[in-house]
Amino acid sequence: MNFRLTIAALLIATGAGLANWPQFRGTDGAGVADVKGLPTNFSPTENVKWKVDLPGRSVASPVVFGNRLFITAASGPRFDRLHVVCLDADTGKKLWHRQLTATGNTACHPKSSMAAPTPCVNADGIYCLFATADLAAFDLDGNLKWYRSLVTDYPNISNQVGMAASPILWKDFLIVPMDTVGDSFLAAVDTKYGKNVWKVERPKDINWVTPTLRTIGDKAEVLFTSPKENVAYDAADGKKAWSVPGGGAQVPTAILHGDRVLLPTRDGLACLKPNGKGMTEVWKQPKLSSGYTSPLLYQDRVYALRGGLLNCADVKTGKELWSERVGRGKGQFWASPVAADGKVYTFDDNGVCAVVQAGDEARVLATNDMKGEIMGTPAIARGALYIPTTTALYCIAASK
Amino acid sequence: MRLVVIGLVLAGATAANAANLADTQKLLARIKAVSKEGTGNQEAGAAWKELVNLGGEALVPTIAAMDDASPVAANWLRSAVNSLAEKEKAAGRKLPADQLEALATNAKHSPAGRRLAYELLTEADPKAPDRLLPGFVNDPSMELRRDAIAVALKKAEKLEGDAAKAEYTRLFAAVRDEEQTKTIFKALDKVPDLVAHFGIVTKWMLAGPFDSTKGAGFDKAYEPEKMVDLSAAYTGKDGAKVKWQPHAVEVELAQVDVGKIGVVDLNKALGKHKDAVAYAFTAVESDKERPVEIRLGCICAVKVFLNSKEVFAREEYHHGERFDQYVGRGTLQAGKNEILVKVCQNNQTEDWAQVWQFKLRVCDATGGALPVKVVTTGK
Repeated sequence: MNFRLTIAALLIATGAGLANWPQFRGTDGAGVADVKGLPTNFSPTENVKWKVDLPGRSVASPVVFGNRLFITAASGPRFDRLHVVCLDADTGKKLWHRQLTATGNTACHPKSSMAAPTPCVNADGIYCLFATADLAAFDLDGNLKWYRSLVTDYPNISNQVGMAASPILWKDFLIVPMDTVGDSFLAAVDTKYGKNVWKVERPKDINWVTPTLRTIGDKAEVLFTSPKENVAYDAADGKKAWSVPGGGAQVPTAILHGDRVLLPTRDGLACLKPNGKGMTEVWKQPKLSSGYTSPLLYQDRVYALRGGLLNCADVKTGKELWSERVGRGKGQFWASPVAADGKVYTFDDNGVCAVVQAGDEARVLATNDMKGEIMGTPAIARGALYIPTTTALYCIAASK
Repeated sequence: MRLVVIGLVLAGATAANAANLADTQKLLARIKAVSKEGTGNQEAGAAWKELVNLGGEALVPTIAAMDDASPVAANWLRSAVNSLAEKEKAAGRKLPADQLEALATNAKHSPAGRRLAYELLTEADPKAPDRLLPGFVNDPSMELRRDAIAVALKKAEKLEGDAAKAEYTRLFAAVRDEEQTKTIFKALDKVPDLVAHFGIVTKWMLAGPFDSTKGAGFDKAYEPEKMVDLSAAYTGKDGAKVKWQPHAVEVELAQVDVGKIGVVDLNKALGKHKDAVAYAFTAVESDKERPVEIRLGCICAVKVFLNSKEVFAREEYHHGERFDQYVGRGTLQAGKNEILVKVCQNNQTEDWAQVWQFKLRVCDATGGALPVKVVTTGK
């Protein structure tokens, strides 16, 4: 039985594929997993199931499909060696490792890396976009399906602060965000051979937003926020479905609540609901501004990190419920919060991880120090929390 | 009879090998046919799988195929080599160390392929670095050269007196990496000439400002772009009279950071202007036709022309500047060659968005200075 069939059988057996964490912030980009028994207390030596060193610097998130975990990294004095690594998610054993040479510019902010976008994965493959605009697809056994140098195709792609938006999957399309000051576009690429299905021009401006996929029956929209215009594109053909005028944030990703959209803006979070033609604002909460991280919706509460504070509001009304300091010292938040097992996990770039009880009252359960630089958003799958530092990956799971 | 059988077997094996090699080359050709926007991906994907299934015999030919592969095709090949090597190791077979070493040490092969062969060789033969790295100090592969110099620098720490001086002098002649340059600079008794070593241009003729309201100046070809006449006068931004003026960059001899040398500060040289274009001109004489890399750093939008032909353009403002940020490639002709740089400033108001500058050097593919003479009439 090949790996694809094994995975299919596994998914049928387990019911829904909820064990996967297939893209930036997991299923639907929500940052939430249906996993029980996650540890509250951990450290580089406590509740560590395994740890592996990465072959370079990574600020991307790991993704998990079945028992396979994938992560990217970039190495070399100029970050021009790109890596895709596949590990056994349960043991950390390396299953395969592929490398590419960067074809695009490798300049970036000192905190970033060319391995900044998070890959996405399904049963047919792992799709890896790098900040250099190198885009590669492998099957789950590491066979190269296709590769494209988007800079070769569109030579004026340029974001020397460091591109970090992640691609997402819809059916057989890989949706590739590429907002840059030169060639700037959003494209759908067929997952089989990597050719453009559609490609729409975007404003010439840098942007780090990972698009949000909003499905409506058989259709889907790709939501993309930016300071000038927040646009929903029809995922099938790239045509503009609706838009609301500017004010969108340049980094956080929108999240969904039923048919509503929780849209990060420059001055908070806006809740939008469909009105037949487009969207109408239901509420707006300035306290839910989320800086470099994306907001989190968990058990009808919205959480947003800003300035070391975790702010919580009721998702129905936007009413503030509580605010709690989770930052310690000079740590900044780049990794987005994630939630599972009744807990919200936050991570700063000093490696400090606060574990907060989800609910109407602020209650910090633990503050753990991973003693490493955490930039990428962790993944939750298979009963474990996969925490990437910029140089290593930890599998955190309760000791049996 | 026994000899006949052996002969037949060997002949059969040789024929089989030749057939395998021919198959390998056909597959490599299908992979190398990939081009823009995914053209050829379907065929290349199928060929990639077939190639990897050929097993270890395909390893070295695949690395060698990187010699004339495009950057896109080279990445297809690199990942195939990764897969081939992994499968060989998983099957308990040794990688062909002799063939890998022959490829890694043959400078006729591509730097990327040689480096890849070297990395696989070091896994198959852990003693290979000790044996090979000393010979890579002047290598065309920057990765091999950097590793070789790193090892040599470690050894040089233990040297003293004339031996240390001689070794650091030898390494300075070879060094291209910024950080290694700093280390060697500090170890040398005599301040090295970084300007000459890296081919940094410090003499320029400048003209500006020209108008670039709404960024329009980037695509507008003002007179200097049509023809450089150093005696000409132009009407610049807001009607200002613009003439070419000489500019010599002051070089601080104690500066160990090569990335900070040769900066042409246009705010100082031409005055602070927003929505503006400036031109910088220099010329170099070459004794013969030769390939050239024009490497530059610029925090503003920039174009570079070599003998009136655009060799680089980037329309990006205030997102950073670094050593060898950009590379324009071309050919120097025998005799005088003109280099024209166009630097655009936008109208951002933030403190960090006021810088208007560039730095440029003329070098070979390794980043070392070419034997050319700057003949700009800068003071």
